Order: sequence, then C-alpha cells, then structure tokens
Amino acid sequence: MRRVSWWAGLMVAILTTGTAGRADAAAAEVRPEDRTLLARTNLVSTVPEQFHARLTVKRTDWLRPLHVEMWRGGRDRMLMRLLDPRHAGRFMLQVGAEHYLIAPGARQPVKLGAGVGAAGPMSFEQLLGIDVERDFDVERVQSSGRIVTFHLVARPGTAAARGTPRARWVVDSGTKLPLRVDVVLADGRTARVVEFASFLGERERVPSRVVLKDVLRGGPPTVVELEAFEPTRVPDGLFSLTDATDRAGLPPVVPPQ
Amino acid sequence: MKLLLLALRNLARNHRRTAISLAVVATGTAALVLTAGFVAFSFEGLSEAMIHGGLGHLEIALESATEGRTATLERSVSEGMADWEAVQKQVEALPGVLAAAPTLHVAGMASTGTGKSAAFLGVAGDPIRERRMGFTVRLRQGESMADAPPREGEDQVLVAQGLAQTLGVGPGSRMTLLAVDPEGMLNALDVTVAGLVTTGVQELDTRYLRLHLHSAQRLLGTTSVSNLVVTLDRTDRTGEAQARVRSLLAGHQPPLDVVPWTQRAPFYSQVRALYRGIFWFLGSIVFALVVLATSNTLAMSVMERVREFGTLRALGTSIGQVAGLVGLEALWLGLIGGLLGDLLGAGLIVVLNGLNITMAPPPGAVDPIELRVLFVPQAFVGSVLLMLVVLALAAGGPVLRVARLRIVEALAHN
Repeated sequence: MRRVSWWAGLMVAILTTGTAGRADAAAAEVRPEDRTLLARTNLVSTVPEQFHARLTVKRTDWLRPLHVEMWRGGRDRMLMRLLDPRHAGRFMLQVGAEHYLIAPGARQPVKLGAGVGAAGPMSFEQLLGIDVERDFDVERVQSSGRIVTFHLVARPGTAAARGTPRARWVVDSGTKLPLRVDVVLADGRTARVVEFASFLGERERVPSRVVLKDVLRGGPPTVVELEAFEPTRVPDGLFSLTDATDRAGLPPVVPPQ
Repeated sequence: MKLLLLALRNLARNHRRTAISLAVVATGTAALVLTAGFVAFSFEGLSEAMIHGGLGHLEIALESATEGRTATLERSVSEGMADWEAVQKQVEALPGVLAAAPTLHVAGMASTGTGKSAAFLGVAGDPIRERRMGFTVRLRQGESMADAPPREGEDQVLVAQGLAQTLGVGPGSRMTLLAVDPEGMLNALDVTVAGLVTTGVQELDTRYLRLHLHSAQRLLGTTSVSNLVVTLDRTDRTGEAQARVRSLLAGHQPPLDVVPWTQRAPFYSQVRALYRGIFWFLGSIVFALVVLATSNTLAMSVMERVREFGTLRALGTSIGQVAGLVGLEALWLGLIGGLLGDLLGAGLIVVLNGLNITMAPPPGAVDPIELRVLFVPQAFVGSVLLMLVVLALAAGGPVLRVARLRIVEALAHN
C-alpha cells in the first residue's frame, strides 16, 4: 500500500509539473491585441519617415544646453548636426544598423560602435525609442490597469542585440503611447531608462520631451526637448557615405540665441 | 701610540691568518662598494629615463586636476589650463629652468581604412621645446614628426610598435583618430604615421602614440593643455625649484599645483624601496659573514697567545692595556681590510664598466640594459667605517676572554 501511494505521488508530481509548464508556455504567447498595441506604440514606424527637427539637449551639470538639428530619411536613416559653432561640420549619421561620425578633420565617415552615444550621452534610441517590432521578440507581457509592459529580447544577429540585448517597453494602452523603455543588459541589469515625458499631440505621436536616465553610471538625467518639427521630403544625398555634397549644401549653422 | 704600533706589528706575526682576515674584510667591503655603485646607477638611470622620457622635473596643472591624483600620467583636458602660454612665459624666466613644455593627453580609438581599430593613449607636445628639454623619442622606423605646427589635413603621429602591430600600420600609413572633446562630443581626425617608436615599456607600447600639440588641440577642439612639464638644469634642485614656481604662481586663478616628478612616478619610489631592501639584505649578509669569520680568527689568535698575555700581565701590563691591544689589532684589520676592499672594488668597477656587459630587459621593458657601476664616494668611506664597527664587534668576545685571564693560569697554559 505504501509503495502504491509513493508511485501515485510521483505520477501526480509529474502531471502537475507538465501542466504548469504548459500554463507558462500559454502565458508567453502574445495575444493579437497585444501585438496591435505594440505596433501602435512603435514610434519608429508611427513617426513620419521623413522629417526635419530641431532639438535641445540639457543636463544640470552642463554649462550650456546642446542644440541639435536632425533629419530622418527613412525608417532607419537619420542625420544629426550639432549647432554650436565650435562643433561646426560635425554630423552623426545612422544608416541601417550602423552609426557614423562625420567630422571636418576626417575625409571618410568614421564608423562607430553600437554603444557610442550620438552626441555626448544622447543616442538615437532616445529620440524614437527602439524598433520594437523589427528587432525584438516579445518574451512576455504584463498588464497593470492601463499600463502594459512588454518584455523584449533582441533578435540574434541584429544591431540591437549588441547594444540593447533586452528591453522593457512600457506603454499606456489607453492613449496607445509609449511611456518609457528600459534598456536591460544580458545579465539582467537595467542600463538606461528612456522616458517619453510628453508628445506633440496624440495624432502626431512625436515625442516632444524625452528624459534619459543612466542607471549604471548615475549622474543627472539628460532631457531632450523638441524645439521644431516639420514633416518634409529629405534628400537622399544627406545620408550618403561617399558623397558629402548635399551635406555641404545645407544652410550654415545658425547658433541658437 | 705605542699600543697602536704594537698592535700593527702583532698582525705581521702570523702572515697567513692576517691575510685570510684581510681577504674576508676586503671582499666584504668590495661587495658593498659594488652593490652601492650598481644601485646608484639604477636609481640615476631610472630617474633620468623618467624625467627625460616625458615626466620632466615638475608638472604644473590645475589644482582641481591633481587633487588626490598626483600619481598619474594622464590629465583630462576637461580640467586643462586655458592660459598656459602666460604661465609658460613666467616659469621659463626663472633661473635653472630649461623649458616649460605644454602637454595634452588624448584617449580614444584609432582606426584604419582596412577596418582595424584599437584604443590609444596619446601624448601631444611641442617637439622643439621637448628637444631643448632633452626629451628622448626612441624612433624605431620612419622619421620624427615635423617641428612646425601641421596644417589642416597634414597631421602626423608617432605610433608605438605594439599599437602599430595591432593596427597593421607603418610609416606613411593613414589612420583616423576618434576622441571625445571636453564637452563630451565625438570628433575625428585623419593622421599620417610619420614613424614607429617605443616607450621602453611593453604594456604602454600597445596603446601609446605621440602627436603634435596643434593636432591634438584640433582633435579635441580646444586651445587648452593638460599641463605644463618643466625641466631643470639639475635634478637635485627639484625641491628648491618647486618652491620657487609655487610661490610664483601663488595668486593664479584657478589655483595651480606644482607636482614633483617623484610624486607622479610612484613606480620610481617602489623600485627605490625594493633596491634599498636588497642592499640592506646583502649588507646584513656581508656583515654577518665578516663578523663570524673575523671573530673566529681573532679568537684563535687569542687562544694561541694566552701565555704571551700571561707574561705581559706578570710584567705589570694592565688588563685594559692587554685587552686594548687585542681590540686595536681587530681595528687595524678592519681599516687595512676596508682600504684594500675599496681598492679592489674600484678595480672591479673599472673592469666591469670596461666590459660593456648588457643585461636582459627587466620585466615589462623593451630594451636591454647596459651594466654600469658608479663610483659612490660615500660608499667607499662608509664601507671602511662599517668594517671598523664590524671588527670592533667581532673583537668583543676575544677581548672579554683576555680580560678574564688569570696570570698564574695563563703562564701555565699550553
């Protein structure tokens, strides 16, 4: 009798474990409405693909704010120009997954590593977040009222896998706007938090105030404010790696007052 | 006086024993003189290599940059000196100052057209001033940088061998330097490799490159410098010069600090402490060997002369005089042995220096070292005095034995 009850216990344990495993697998599956929400909040695809903008970057420990002009010419083509006369001629360029520095002292664009900030502590991910649809798989989804958190894992082989191996994409399911993205390292530590503090309007879905907190290194947060935004046709030549003619033809830098 | 002469004549009575004692003392003295000469050469060589390798005798930098960070070779340009040219003019007017050269430290990434990249630590300076200061650039291939400030697009660098190997560059190669300016913005500069150099330190050779001050300022978008490096006409006047420069710059805003080279190079103090330890260890061994060998010889001499001492005592010589005689014999041994040791040591120094012996590079270094032994007058005098002390100590036992002798027993001693 004792032997029978031992076997029965073992069977129950195996069955229970199996059931629990299936329950977890079910939780990892993403519901279609969550997928729709993820797509609605992906700024990389919802913000106009061609635009020109002016931004101000501030930090409490900086003597003066940094003024930046930027152009977007496609899903993953961006050009950034520093507006301080001391940085004249310097551009940051994103073409696909690669980032480049264009400097007057260097004849060719200089390819940068995945972790290099575009301008000081500011990186391109701060402006539009990360491409949550193209570069990431959803590991699981958590909901708490209107707040939905997508736990994301970068797809192997993508540029995101080098710089942002994991992320938490936190969105408001009511407004269908992202609230913040936590950049998580492979070991589980949170490296940076990018908060989308405000937007131009619900229709434009363009972030107008973004706050970056460097959790690993600490220090005061970096605040990026949108000064001007204009959807416009952007010439392809601005993003050329071999021909600087279009960039050279840009209106001269006007130092902000 | 008579006792002194008598003690000297007594040494001649047993030639063999005296010769052995003198040989022990002379060898010990020569060992000390040679060790002191080698240690002095190492200290001098190391200090001059550091001073003329880029440290200079004094460093002038912002107090905020040096606070708690004197022992570093790198100074961030974000804490650089803006009015360095005015300070340079003031300091160079001081007597004993050879020159005050601006230095700018740059850290970043170097990359080539073939896609190779590596982190670098760059030191930028003024070649003309550095030559005046006696700074040495150990060129291995190619040529030195041009003295004149390079024009835009004509910037040159000297790359350390290890870094050049990593990047696959040689004289004439082009590469791009990437660095962060004082405001945290990235900038890049194309440069041509003028030549390959070595710092003499393997570890540093994997990261090091030299560039003209103007090239570094162009890369970092600044007119400031990290520090001013001052060289003097004499190293032994560093402390005096430090005080003079400090009082000259006392009212400067923002406050400046004047750091002597010894504080910037803790490595030197560590090597000095290590060598001093070795010297004392070796000295202790020599001390113990000479004490043991000579006390044994002196004890034997006393044992053989017990009847002689008994006769002297019977003739009315006091205990003190007899004991003094033995003690003086020991001191004569120390003096003569020490002087002979000095002669032997001097001869060996001449021979060793004449042989031009080279030693394998020490750990971490690139070039072999030429063995040189310096004449250190203090060591020559000091080792003779030490031998007198050693022999006085060695004579302690025999002297006590003589003092305890009873006349009757001594006369009957066989």
